[in-house]
Amino acid sequence: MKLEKQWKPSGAIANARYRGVTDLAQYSNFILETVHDMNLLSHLLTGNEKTNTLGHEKEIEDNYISLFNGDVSPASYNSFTASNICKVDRNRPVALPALDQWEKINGCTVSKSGTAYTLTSNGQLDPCGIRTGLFVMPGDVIYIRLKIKTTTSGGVKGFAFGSQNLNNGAGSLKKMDVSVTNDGFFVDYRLYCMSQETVFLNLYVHNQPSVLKAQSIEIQSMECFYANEVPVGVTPLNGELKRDLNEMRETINFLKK
Amino acid sequence: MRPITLRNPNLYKGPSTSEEFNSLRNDIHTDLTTLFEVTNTHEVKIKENMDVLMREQFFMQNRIEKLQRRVLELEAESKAKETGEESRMLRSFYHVEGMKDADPKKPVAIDTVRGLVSPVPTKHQSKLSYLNDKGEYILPHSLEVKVVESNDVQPLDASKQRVYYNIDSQGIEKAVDGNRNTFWVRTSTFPATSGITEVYGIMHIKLPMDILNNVYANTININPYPEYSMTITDIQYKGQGEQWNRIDTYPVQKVSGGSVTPTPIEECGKMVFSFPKREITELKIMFTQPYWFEHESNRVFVYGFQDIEVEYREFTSEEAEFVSSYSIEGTSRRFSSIQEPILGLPVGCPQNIDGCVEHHLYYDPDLTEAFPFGHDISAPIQVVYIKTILRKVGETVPFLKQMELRYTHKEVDE
Repeated sequence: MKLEKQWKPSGAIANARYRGVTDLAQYSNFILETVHDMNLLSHLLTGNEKTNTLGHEKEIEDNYISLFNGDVSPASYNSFTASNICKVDRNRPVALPALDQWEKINGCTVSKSGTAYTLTSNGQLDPCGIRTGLFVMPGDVIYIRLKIKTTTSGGVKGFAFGSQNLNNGAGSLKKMDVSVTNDGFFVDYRLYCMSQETVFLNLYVHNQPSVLKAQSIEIQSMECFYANEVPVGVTPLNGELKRDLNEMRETINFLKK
Repeated sequence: MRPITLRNPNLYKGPSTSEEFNSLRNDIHTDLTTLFEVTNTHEVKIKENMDVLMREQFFMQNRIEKLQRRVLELEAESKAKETGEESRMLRSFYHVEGMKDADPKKPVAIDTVRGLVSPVPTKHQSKLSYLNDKGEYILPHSLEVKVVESNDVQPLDASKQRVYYNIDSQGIEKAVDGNRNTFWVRTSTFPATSGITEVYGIMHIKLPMDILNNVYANTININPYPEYSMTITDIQYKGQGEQWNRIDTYPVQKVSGGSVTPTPIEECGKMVFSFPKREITELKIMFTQPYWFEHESNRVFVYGFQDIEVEYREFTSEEAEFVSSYSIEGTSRRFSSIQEPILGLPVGCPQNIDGCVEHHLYYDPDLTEAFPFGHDISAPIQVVYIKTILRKVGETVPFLKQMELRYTHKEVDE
């Protein structure tokens, strides 16, 4: 949400100026308001150390320098100065077997109806679910999106998906309780791979739930793609951007020879 | 802005009547109010401009990062191919270094922003905005522009079609105002838990039919914002009838059953669609934004347009020429044979340009004598010149994006 700071002259809310000055107090007020407004305007334009206001002059200068040389941080903006740019690369699906071909863990049963799979636990053993192996490389980002639904009375407790042993056993799971809904809804998660290894992808009907009970969850759809994430920030033209371009140019010149 | 207080005749003599005193006071107040308005406008503008620059820069970093990876791949490929004798050189038109006019009477249009070369249009007429004598763009009242949005978790309707919802299109005229310094930007923010990974949009433009002399158009310029982020998925137009048609030069792919589907143009930069003249009364640009920013537990999708232009450009059938030079100076090699250049054509422009382009090979900068392509060169030549002739054939106007020169080389003293 964008918050606009609207500066207003104080005279607008003081006395009824179109009726003219009627006494000395009003005249004094008018002079004080005018002086105040001019003072405020000068602070807005050139800054005020006391109120930690940079002023437009400095803001313009700092914004310019931050983009050109990077010697200072950007001074005035609405959005953010650093973030991650994310994209699911739908041209690079992760090859996975159908869910009923995954290895069952602790008595999980998988049934198929149309394009949906229902994972059911009898509530005896935890964690209960399915898993399949996947070879990953450092830097891989695996994006998983599920459309899920449950009809288990009271909902599903401790539903989890992700990888139990990613990054040398550290694991990365998204855990949640799933309420009963009329329609399926989407949940997604990203796995950040840091080493070359074969890991398990897991879908758990429950994993350390608050209440262990028989429950089932319907996976209406599952998408799994590689994703890209690039950290970005305000980068000066005269610094990194030109350096990166020059480096590429050197490499291209070398390739041409 | 000029303060109205300065208009007061008694400014330097002091107020002489009650009326003048009151007038001066009102003027001072009006001036102060105006100054505050200007200050507020500046404050908003400083932030908006910085936002535009920062987001554009973010996607430029993303693009550079991708190019760096691609260069590394090419480096590896090049090492693997080092035994091959044939080499290649690429001429793009993002700069004019090593290019000159062959004949000043037959100039070409070089668009270094989009990296294109084409014959010079003799006339072009905008269908959306008008340029007045002061150089300002005027938008007709009857021009209608609207954007609808959807996303990839939005339920489909009964016929399995995507459901779009209306969005706040305030400032949408900035996308079609012909001014490259103004942007229409939409920021769609969703919770990180929403599962949304792509936002879809349709921009619907209804041309101002009441003031157009004719409804013919043959060129559409699209400058998306942020550049290199959005995917254009289709462009369709409506003529005088009710039928929607795809722009002739929009890339398509054949699917089973013989039908065609539009090919998405990913990470779209500034584009030109040049096509045979068509009656256009309405236009639909379909696009998606598959990139998002992760920010404070939100997914922030930013998309918009710097400029969209619908034009009728007139080209004559006269030839246009330019000369480009190719050099291996600075090495110990010389050219031993040159093949006819292979053309790279821009997406969105005619792909079949038979008869529209001709090349001639020269060994000297004065273009004294043309030599055939493919023959052995025995002289120690390190620079060659290629004259390229462009001409309109029928309705087809050639647009070039790249020229690839294949050559063999020997050592100079061989």
